[in-house]
Order: sequence, then C-alpha cells, then structure tokens
Amino acid sequence: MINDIAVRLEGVSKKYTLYHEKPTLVESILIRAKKEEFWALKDINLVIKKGERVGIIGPNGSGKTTLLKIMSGITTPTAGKVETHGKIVSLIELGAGFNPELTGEENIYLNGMLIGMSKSEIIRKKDEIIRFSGVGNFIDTPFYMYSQGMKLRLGFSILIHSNPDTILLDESMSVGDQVFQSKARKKFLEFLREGKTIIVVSHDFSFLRQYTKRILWFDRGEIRKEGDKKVIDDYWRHFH
Amino acid sequence: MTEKEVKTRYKRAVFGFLWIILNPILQMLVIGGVFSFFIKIPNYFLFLFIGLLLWQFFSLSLSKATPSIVYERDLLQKAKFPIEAIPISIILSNFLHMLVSLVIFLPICLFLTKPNIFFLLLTLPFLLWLLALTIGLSLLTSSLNVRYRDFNFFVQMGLILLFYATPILYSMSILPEGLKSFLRLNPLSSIFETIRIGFIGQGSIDVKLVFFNLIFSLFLIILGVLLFKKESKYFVDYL
Repeated sequence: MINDIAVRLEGVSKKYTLYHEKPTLVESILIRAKKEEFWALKDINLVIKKGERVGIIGPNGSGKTTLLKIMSGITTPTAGKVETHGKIVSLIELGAGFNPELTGEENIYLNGMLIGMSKSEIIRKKDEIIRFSGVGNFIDTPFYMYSQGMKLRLGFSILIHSNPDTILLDESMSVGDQVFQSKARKKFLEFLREGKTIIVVSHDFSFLRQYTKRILWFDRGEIRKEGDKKVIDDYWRHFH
Repeated sequence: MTEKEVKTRYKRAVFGFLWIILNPILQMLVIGGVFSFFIKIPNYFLFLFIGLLLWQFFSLSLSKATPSIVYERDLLQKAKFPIEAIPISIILSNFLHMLVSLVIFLPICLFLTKPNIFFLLLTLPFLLWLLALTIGLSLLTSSLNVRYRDFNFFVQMGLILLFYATPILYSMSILPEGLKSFLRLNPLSSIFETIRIGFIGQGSIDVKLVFFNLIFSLFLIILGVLLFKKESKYFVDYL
C-alpha cells in the first residue's frame, strides 16, 4: 500500500561543496578556487509511515537538519529519490519569510502563501492564527515593531494552522514564554491524537522518550542505529 | 501560491510611481538639452522619453532582479515554493509601472504627433516581447548571481554599455552601415525602434532586424529558463 507512507527516501545522498571563500566568477575562471567535498548524508534508505512518531538523535553535523531539509523539499538531494505524501510542514526557520515593512496581518498572507496555504484558507483561519499567537494589538503594526518572541510566535502559529499531515520539528518546541509554550504543547498533543506524522530532531531525551516511538541515531551522515527508545540509552552510554 | 501574492510585498506603488515617471522626465530634459544640438530628429524630446521609459523598465528590472534571490535567502530556507516568483514579481511590478506611464503619456503623443493606429497596436506584442526578454535574462542573471556573487557587477557594467548600444538617444537609421550591423546583435534594438514608431509615428520598421532580434531573444529566454530550472534545485546550498 503506497498510501500509508508519509516519507520514503531511497539511496539519498547529499553532497556539499565547500568553497573556502565567497564564490566569485573572477576567481573560478582565474584560479580554480579550492574546493572540498563534504557528504552530509550518505545513501540513506528510510520509510516513515503515516502516523509514526520518529525521533532523530546524533551529534552536531551528523546530517539531521539536512535530512529535514530534504524531506521538506527545501533542498534537493545530490543522489537518490525522495517521495512524500501529504502536506509537510517544517518548524524550522520560524522567524523567516516575513517582510519587516508589512503589517502582521499582511505577513500572515505572505507567509501562509509561502508555505502553501490558499488565500481562502488563510482568510478562514486568520483570526484563530492571531489569537493563538497572542500578538494582540500588534497585528496591524509593521513587522519591524515586533519583538523576537512575537515573530517566532506568529511564525509558529501560522505553521500549525496550515493543516499539515507531517510535521518536522527541529528543537523548536521552546518558542515564546511559559504561557505560549503550554499552548504549543497542547496543540502538539492534539496533533498526536489526530495521528499526524511527527519527525523530531532533538537533544531533549525526555521529550523524545515521552512523545516518540521510533528513534534514528545519525552519525556522520549515516544511520548508525535504529529502533525503539532503547536506542536513546545506547546513545547515552556511547558518550558517557 | 501565485506570483501576485508575493508581489504585494513590493507594492509600495504610490511612492515608487512618482519616482518612476520623474526620472525619465529629468533625464529627457538633460539629455535632450544637450543632444538636440547634435542629433537632428524631429520631436526629439518625445523620441527620447519613450526610449528612456522602456530603458528604465529594462535596466531597473535587471539590476533589481539579479541579486533578488540572494536577498531573499530567508524565504528559500523557510519552505519549498516556486522560486521564480521572486524575480518575476519584481519585473511584473516594474512592467505595470511602465504601462501606466505609457498610458498617461499617450494623449501627449496623440496631440503632438500623428501615430498610426496600426503601429500603435503593434506596440502591444513588442511590449510583451520586452517583458519576456527581461524575465528570461533575469532568470539567467539571478541564477548566475547565486553561484557567483560578483556577477551582479558584470550586470551593472553591461547595463551601462548596453545603454549606449541601444537606440535610445538615436535611431538605427542615422547610423553608418558598419556600426548598424554591429548593433543588430542587440535584441533590444527592434523592440525600442518599433515601440517608438508606434508612439510617435516616425520611422520605418526593419523587418529583417525584427526577425533576427526575435530569434536571438528566444535563444536568450530559453537559455535563462533552462539554466534557472537546473540551478534552482540547489540554490539553497549556496545561500
């Protein structure tokens, strides 16, 4: 059955070419700028079914964020195939995709369109988005007036109201103050109840233990170990 | 998601518009004041104004669209969306400004000169041609600018040279034969000439030149689209 698959990766590799300086045309013609290759992901095969809750652990630079970027389609793998079903939303770069000159409300339209919401959908959900974000009166002031926390809250609020099927999280459940965090957690639990697919990159083991069922341990671009929560214990032991 | 929506962010229409019409007027007065002593073309000020207006659209679009993808790196890192919307939205809003300026300007032309209605209608496909060429070139330059950050300097330099190689200050017909055949390479030549004929009704269309320019434009547009398609998948890795 193809329909119960949320994400399928087949032999996915991602190569980054490291230039040690800013790339310029003059340089690449004249002095063949020094290059170095770096494989962020090496031949990853992975199937994530709908409704699965997957936690991804691993040291910095092991390819976790690259994996999320490839799943969300932000970047394209160098080799291999990516297949996704349903709407994927990534809670990374929450504060991005806003224009500082536009008002909060106009930014909801801009940002919503960017992540693939239709105009009518935004009109329908606008009030709810504003209420959830708690930015209140600031909604019709220009975005440069917003505090950092308000920007993140609004970004978060738009994303979770876009009716995703699969949610990619990168350590970002800790947005905003206590009040907002408890609201966010409630929404997250709601997503769990609705059986949405959730893929979390985190170093917060208690969070992973509580909310995820399948753990992938990434190491230097490869899946080192895969399994249930015991993998967290192995990972812990490996570093202590 | 449509291009129109991302465009809202660039729509500071009232403020931008004044500048857009003021700039060619001032340029027309200065350049016209000097060059009318050397170049004997009837209605030289009107002649200049049309060329400058078209040029302003072309050069402003290209110089704003070329670095646009690098400027909007935030958006690219946020979500997957049709990236071509970024340069195209800039160009479309400039195009709209130019159309409004031309429409405002039309009654003055009708009053002072005798445009031929057929040639006036002929400007429409040529305006679309200019739009398509500008979009094609911008796709080319903006994707090259992601790879090579200094490409924008080449574009700026190229635009300055191209200004003089385009029939704005002069018409192709007053040029000596040798120079003329060299400037035929510039795909903007017949676009500028024909639209100007449409508005002020003087001069004649060089069909061979139009044909030659059209083929070269198509080549540039296709090159731009293909390169952008190929490169845009990996833009994020360079931002």
